[in-house]
Amino acid sequence: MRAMLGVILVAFAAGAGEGDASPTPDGGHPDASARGLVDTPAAEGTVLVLGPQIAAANEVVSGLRDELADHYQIVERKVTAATSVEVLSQIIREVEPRVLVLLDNPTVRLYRALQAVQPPGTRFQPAVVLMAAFFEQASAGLQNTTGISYEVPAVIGFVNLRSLLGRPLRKVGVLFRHGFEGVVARQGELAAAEGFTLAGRVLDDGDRVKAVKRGLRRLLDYDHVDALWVLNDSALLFPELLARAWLPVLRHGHIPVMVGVSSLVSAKLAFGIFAVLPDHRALGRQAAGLVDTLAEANWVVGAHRPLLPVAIEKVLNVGMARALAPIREERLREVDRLIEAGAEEGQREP
Amino acid sequence: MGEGAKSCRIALALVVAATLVAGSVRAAAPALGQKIYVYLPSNVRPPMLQRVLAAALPGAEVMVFRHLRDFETSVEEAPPDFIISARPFVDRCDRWKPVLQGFAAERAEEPYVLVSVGRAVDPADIPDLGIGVVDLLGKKGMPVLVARLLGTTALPKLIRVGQPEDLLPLLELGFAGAVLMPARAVPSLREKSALDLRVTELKAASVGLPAVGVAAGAPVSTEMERRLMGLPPAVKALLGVDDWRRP
Repeated sequence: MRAMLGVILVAFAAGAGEGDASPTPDGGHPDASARGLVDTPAAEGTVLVLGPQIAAANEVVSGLRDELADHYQIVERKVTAATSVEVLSQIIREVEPRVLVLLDNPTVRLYRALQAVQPPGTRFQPAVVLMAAFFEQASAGLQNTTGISYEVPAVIGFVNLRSLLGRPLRKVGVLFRHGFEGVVARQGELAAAEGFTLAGRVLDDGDRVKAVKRGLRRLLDYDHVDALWVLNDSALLFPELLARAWLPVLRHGHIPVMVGVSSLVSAKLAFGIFAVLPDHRALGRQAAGLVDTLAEANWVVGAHRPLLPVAIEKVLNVGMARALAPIREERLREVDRLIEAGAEEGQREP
Repeated sequence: MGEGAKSCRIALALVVAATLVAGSVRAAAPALGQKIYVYLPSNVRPPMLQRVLAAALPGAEVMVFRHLRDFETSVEEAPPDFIISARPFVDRCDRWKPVLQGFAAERAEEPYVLVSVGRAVDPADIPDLGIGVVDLLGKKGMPVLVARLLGTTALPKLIRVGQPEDLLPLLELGFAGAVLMPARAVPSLREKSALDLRVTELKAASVGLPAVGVAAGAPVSTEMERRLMGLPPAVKALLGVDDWRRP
């Protein structure tokens, strides 16, 4: 069971498996040719996209191109956790971008390291952060930086889940660690406008397995939540914790569980029934709007608050959903991926 | 199609069954070998719409696009025999001419309204509002279209989204002061949301319903037109029309 969970949770290993981005002997970047310059008009300058070479990142770049390629040169360079600050610095010097787009947490950490070694008073190009888990924490302290959170606002998922299910959905529970109070409070405010109450339980200190079990039981037995929302917090979702804490309690909970990772909506796992994920192409288009806004502001981020993703992809475990409540069949055509118990999973609609 | 997509298969089976009952598709229909590209933003996922259309138009090669840019690129680089899109898109392209016009409730256009939260939109506020809208024409074309619909001379600040369901989050998250949408879609929005949604009607704000276009100068395929006109109501409804008529 745990081995299977390990496979399912590979999606959490952000940045894992990416290739090395050490400089080549001639000092060039190893991926410069693979993800090289694109001959597009550059009247407005260059947008330098830095990040991993994975499908989701490619979708984001497609979205950026959809909106910006007529006016900007879009240049992609692969960087990973193994890329050095020197290499990153060299890339930026070579490309001379008008704006940086940073994809994922390792790339943000790398850029933070680069900013940290610059002399005081250095003026940085504006940077737009995408695909970074818990954006506000990840980008705190970065200069001239804005971005779009990677986590889909919970209210969007709640509304979609409510429209799919034929049972009341008013009170949603969430477990979180200390430090996430602000995230949960903000999500609760947004959800309240749609009539939802977000019941949050902070995990007790000490043994994590016991803490998760206790927290879940409080949500189920005392708060009487109608559904559970699971934060994309890798510290709460490793295989052992799923197997020893989440699954044993939720097996008897009989409530829908909404997650933010498609691999957790699995016919084999019987954990999440519904996942809401960012639509990466739309995320890229949304980021393009941010670039346009920055251009209007003379490339100064200023007081621009980070945005939240709007467009989503939906995954539904139909079998589990039907076991919980009647579902509105006509709404199924609005779901991107449907999974049924006993079926091969991971199939995406073509 | 994913093996898990049983419900989609059921829906597809129902549509095909309805089609057969209506007598619109004959099992032995000859392959037409014609390409049809479709870009119609809707909450129905493109793969499902593509399967339904392919089943209803045997022999035709149907491609339903999720992204406007992909549709535009494909139409340009590998032109199909037919396109199906919102009338403003068909009209925008000199190379394409409408051969069939969609009708709903006996109208070839549908009224658009502004939807906001808490209070109706004051027309005087429109220049300062961010307005959410489903993208039919792209970055250059949409501001012009929306300005016409709103009756303003200045190009409005738009937040374009790819599908109708993305409009609601714009209101929920406060990213848009209002969203511009077909009046017929308001009831389903209200059904889905608990927000205090207010509708502001707009004078003379109508958008052409989907049309079928062919390349200008191409030979007219009356057979395909007949087949499209004969699609069963359930399939036409997925395309947002009740009927196709020659313009």
